[in-house]
Amino acid sequence: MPLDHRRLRGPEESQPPTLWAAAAAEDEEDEEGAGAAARDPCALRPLFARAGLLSQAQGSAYVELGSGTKVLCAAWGPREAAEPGPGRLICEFRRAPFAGRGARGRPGAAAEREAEREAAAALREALEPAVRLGRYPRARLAVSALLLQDGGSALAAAVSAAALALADAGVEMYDLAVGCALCRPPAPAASWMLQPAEPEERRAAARLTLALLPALNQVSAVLGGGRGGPPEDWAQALRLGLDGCHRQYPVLRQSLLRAAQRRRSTPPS
Amino acid sequence: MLCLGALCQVRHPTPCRNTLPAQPPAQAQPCRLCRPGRAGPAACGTAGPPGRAGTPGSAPAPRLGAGIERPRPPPPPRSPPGPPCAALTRTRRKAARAASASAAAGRDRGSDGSGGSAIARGSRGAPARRDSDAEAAAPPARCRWEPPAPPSGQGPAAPPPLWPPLPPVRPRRLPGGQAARGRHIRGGDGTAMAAAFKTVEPLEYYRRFLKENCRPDGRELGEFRTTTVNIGSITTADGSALVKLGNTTVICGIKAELAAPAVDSANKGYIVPNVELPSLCAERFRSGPPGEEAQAASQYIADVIENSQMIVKEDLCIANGKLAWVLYCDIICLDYDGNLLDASVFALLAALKNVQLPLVTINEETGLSEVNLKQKNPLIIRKHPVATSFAVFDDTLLIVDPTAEEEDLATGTVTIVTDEEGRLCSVHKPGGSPLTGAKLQDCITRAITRHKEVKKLIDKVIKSITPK
Repeated sequence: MPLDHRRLRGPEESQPPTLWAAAAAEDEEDEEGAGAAARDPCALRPLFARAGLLSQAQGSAYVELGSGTKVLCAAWGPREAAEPGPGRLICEFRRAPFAGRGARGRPGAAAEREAEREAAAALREALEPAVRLGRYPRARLAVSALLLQDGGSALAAAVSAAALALADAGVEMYDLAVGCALCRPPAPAASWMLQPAEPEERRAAARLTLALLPALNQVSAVLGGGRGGPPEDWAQALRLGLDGCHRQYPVLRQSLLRAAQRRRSTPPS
Repeated sequence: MLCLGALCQVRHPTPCRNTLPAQPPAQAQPCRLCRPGRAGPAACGTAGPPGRAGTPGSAPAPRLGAGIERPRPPPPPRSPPGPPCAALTRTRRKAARAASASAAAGRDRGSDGSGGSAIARGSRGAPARRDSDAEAAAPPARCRWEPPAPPSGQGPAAPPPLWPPLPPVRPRRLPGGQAARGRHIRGGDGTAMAAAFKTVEPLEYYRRFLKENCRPDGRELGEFRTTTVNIGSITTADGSALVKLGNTTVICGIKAELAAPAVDSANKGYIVPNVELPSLCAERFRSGPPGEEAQAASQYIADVIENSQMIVKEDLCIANGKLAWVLYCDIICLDYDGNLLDASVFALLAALKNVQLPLVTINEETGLSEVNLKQKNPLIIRKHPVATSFAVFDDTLLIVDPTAEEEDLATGTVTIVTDEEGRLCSVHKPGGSPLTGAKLQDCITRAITRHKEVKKLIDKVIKSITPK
């Protein structure tokens, strides 16, 4: 592994203790899996969203899902860009090293950076249709998402948080982009599940992340893949996902309204 | 009218410019100031008088050019144009004549290095006389040159105020301990003016608060911002803590892994701190590898752990030379509003207290390690270091817990780490304005007080989450 000169160095290699406890842990997980199958596949986990909590960023949002996914996102309004042309949205996605359940993600590693870049590209794909970039020619809008804990459906939560942060920063948008994740367990006739938790996602045969603009009823991004089954299953999964997004939308709108009220009531410093 | 300066080319301290003769006289007359035969003709730098030129063996005595080496009197006033000048010249010439007459007396005065030139002495004595006469004659205000008055007042000279002076301010303490900035000035105009003043002259704006011994957000100089701690929120990490110092938010997550110890220290585990300043905490941080501030902070945290012996590395060793714990401490700043080091050390301490390590045994028969996830033990933390940061203003004032704006305006920072027995673990002063020993002692005293506050807070939080 190439030396990372900018960080303090630990040992060359280290393994999480769960590797050695693997034998005992797997039995437990099978039990858990059996219990989870009884879960209602269309049930949405509780969602907590709050906008306007960072003092240094122009807009910010924090989204927490019931399964434990915690995403913090900050957005900055239009800044001057060197290149001519329409405005550009620059997204960044970072995972905290302690976000994953298994080994600690090494921050400088190439694999990590690759995964982060892919996630950032997916985020941009989901957000671009929602932002009125035509109103900001020659400008740069920046969005930065930080995943503090991964409990499943991380990308979907990041999409919602990023849209909230952009709206909180005062950027003109057509609509909020709401993200929803689905997965299909490997059992042969299993149905798609909304907002999987982390163990379910790990064992899933197919995963899907949807981003929807609910008021316009337009899908801005569909990401994912796997062994899903016949095409009708995929269509059914899409419908399930759209339904999930519509149901989450009022919560996000409410959080934006509350943030605006809070901002108005505290005097500007 | 003869001007002495032009004739004898003697370097008089006051070159009179106004009365140069149109043509040089036919016969160069000896300088009136010169006393031929007295001090030696060579003392006078005149090239004119023929009698002198032929004098053999006259060693080039120190010319009057050497007079420059002598401490010169302050330059007498320049002659201003107009009638007073003529009066001056006349008085000067009178004085010069008087000087040459009394040069005999002047000779004994003043010991100078170069061989007692009468002219030199005369010229030296004359200006003083001329000065006094000139003073008496000319209007003092115009011709007099004074050295600039020494700057009055202490410290650096304050720039002249650009804005009308604000009324003396005492920000009210609103409930919740938050005095909004600018609110103490009533009226819309006042707030706008204060905001404009703050943008144009931030240092001056700040100094006005410091004069009243308070800061724009209503705090005293020695008061910390509201500190909030939340422990154990990240369940994927082995230990976590979120600390908020006012607006500065720092989260620390600790992951414990197993590794083989290093060859040269076979009985030691590892603690690897890593401070990250992602782009979302402040606009000036870019995404990418850690910048200078993050690297410095990481190294500082490692030093604090080492100096305070918070966690002894030998405690992390499971089997000598074979297996040891590695504690990866990742400290991420979520919101940067100054005083990063204090918050990071606090978050690290709280997270370490929250860590539960599973029991690891090495099976002697197989040589493999067995991990028992059910049974968890907390870490052994020997010392509890707490950091207190100060910012130095104008080389004299010390304020505690600076915000980001205060850090930008400060001339220096000091960070002091103490442990629970009131002992000093580390003093970090990266350059900046110098501090006296007494001020440093004040800082240490304040740090010890802060330690007590922080310890109480951490104990309260830990007690609240331990299952009864």
